[in-house]
Amino acid sequence: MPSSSRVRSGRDLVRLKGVGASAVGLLLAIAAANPAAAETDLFGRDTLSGVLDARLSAADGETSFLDGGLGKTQYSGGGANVAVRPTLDLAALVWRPQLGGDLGASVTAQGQSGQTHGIDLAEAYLQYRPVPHSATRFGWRVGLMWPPASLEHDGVGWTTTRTLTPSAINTWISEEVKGVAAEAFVSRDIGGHRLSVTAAAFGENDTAGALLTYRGWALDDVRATAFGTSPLPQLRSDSYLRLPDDTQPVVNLDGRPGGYAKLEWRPPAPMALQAFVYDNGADPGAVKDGYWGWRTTFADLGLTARPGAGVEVLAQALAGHTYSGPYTSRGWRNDVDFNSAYLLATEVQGRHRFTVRGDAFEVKNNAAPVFGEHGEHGWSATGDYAYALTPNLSLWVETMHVWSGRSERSSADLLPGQPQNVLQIAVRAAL
Amino acid sequence: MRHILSFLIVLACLPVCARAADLDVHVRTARGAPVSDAIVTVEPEARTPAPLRFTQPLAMAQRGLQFDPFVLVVPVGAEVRFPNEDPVRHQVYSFSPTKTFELKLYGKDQTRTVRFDKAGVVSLGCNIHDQMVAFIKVTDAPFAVKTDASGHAVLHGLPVGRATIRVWHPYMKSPNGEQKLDLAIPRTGSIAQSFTAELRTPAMRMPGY
Ligand SMILES: [Cu+2]
Repeated sequence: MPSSSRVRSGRDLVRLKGVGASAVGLLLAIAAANPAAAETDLFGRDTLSGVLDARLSAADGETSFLDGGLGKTQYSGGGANVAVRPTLDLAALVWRPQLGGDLGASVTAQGQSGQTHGIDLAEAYLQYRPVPHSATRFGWRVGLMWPPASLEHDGVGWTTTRTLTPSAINTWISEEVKGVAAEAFVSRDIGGHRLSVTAAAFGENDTAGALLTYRGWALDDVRATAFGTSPLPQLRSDSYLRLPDDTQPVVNLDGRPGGYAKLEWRPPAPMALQAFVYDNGADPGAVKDGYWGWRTTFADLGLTARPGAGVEVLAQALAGHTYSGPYTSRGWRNDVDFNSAYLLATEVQGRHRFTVRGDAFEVKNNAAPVFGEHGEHGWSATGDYAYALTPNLSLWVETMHVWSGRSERSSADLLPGQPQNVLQIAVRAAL
Repeated sequence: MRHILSFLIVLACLPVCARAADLDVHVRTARGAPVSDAIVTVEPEARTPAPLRFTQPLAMAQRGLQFDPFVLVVPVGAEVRFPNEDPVRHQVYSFSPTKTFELKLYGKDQTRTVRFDKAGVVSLGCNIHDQMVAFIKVTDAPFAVKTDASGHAVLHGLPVGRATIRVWHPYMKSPNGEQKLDLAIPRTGSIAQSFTAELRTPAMRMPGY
């Protein structure tokens, strides 16, 4: 209901201000109490960085999920007609104060079109990273953060650096996989190999999977925030299959912790392999403020290879399962398996970067069909060109084609198979 | 910096030894690819009459989230500057037995200095940027030079007599990453010497923890 989401938004804003004030207070207290105060740097010019991304998009195809449809991108076309619109895609400010003694913090505030609140927190964590004294290194992070699952988000403020739009896998990670975690990292160099293990316990991520089930896979860069929500498709407003207005990705419904772990291997070769497993531990029968718990588990394999100068190949494959209540005589009301993979190749030549990526994705519905047809399959092809005008300013052109088949569309008098084309021109500035 | 890439350790005896030879070194892989960033040192059997003198500033810059140069050769006792030319902070460290140190985070247009008192290899890292890797070869040899992009290096003014030539590269597949050769340096002229070096592939470095 609109009124209930307004209430929730208002309460979130109060909570947001409270959390922001107490976080700053905590950091100042830590910095003041730290004996190595000489090494602290709270507001120096080097503690701030940021990114601005302004876009002009042209898209055809069905209505975006942001506008209540099942469209696979953040842009709505008018069927075969092309809709053109400018957007401020992302403004992110990253504050990385040094608190002394190898302790630091990272706080990212962001604003983007499609976001619930004008400004919201993307990440906020403490990080301890001592200088290594041997071939073994370790560190930890505690706070609100994305898990280290994406190979594509290695830019300032967790932005993509090779394409404007992340793959289906990492779009989903950006949208729904984020919590408050306590994470530890250790790596060791052994005979030219490097082995790293990252493991975490986390909470506040009990609805991961709702968007993936109700909307399906997507390719967009609207990112989860601490207090924001994502709209859900509203195709069946007249029936008992009506979906909730939205889902809130960063939320705790049951007090049960989840965990994730990553193993990375870098052999003495220009390549790296990683395996990532995740289980949010949520109670699928929990319900609070109209949000159900979604028990979500997935595993992801990732490959990075640099076969030649300036050339890089990335690949990830992800398979997972999610289910959610209520539990009925026909089983869980929502129960799906989801899979996706992509292959990306990028080449840098001086100021130019060329990138191509192919994605494939699938959702298999295991729940009784009367509860909604959430199964789908699809693919996409993305081509991207970026030109560095200066080290801090770049111009991007990206073209993307997405095709998906989802039988649920029939109930809204849409064809089950829907193509969409998106052209984006972006100017990105680093601050 | 070009001038650092190509700097030579100048021997103080140059004016003394009126007659001296040049050594022309090529380092290549077995397949003929040039090996750049290899350090060639020469230790003449005869005592060098004076301590080493360096005519160029010794610096390991941080630029574009990389160290520059990748390999730096310095004499024992050298004071090396670490200027940060990036708009971000770096935290440079080494846990090599030759020199263990840590430079606390420092930002753009700032520099720090480290003195290297012991001969050996110092491998450098940055605690913020895992992709940053570089090496400092601290040498007590009176002559040293680094191979250029074509795997080529020249040493001028070597004293006549027997000398030990060593070629070192951080990734060379040999004990201690080096090869050794004894050679007779003639009274005048130029002699050429080729080395074949196989390099191992290091594990990939990426931004991360
Ligand atoms: Cu650095």
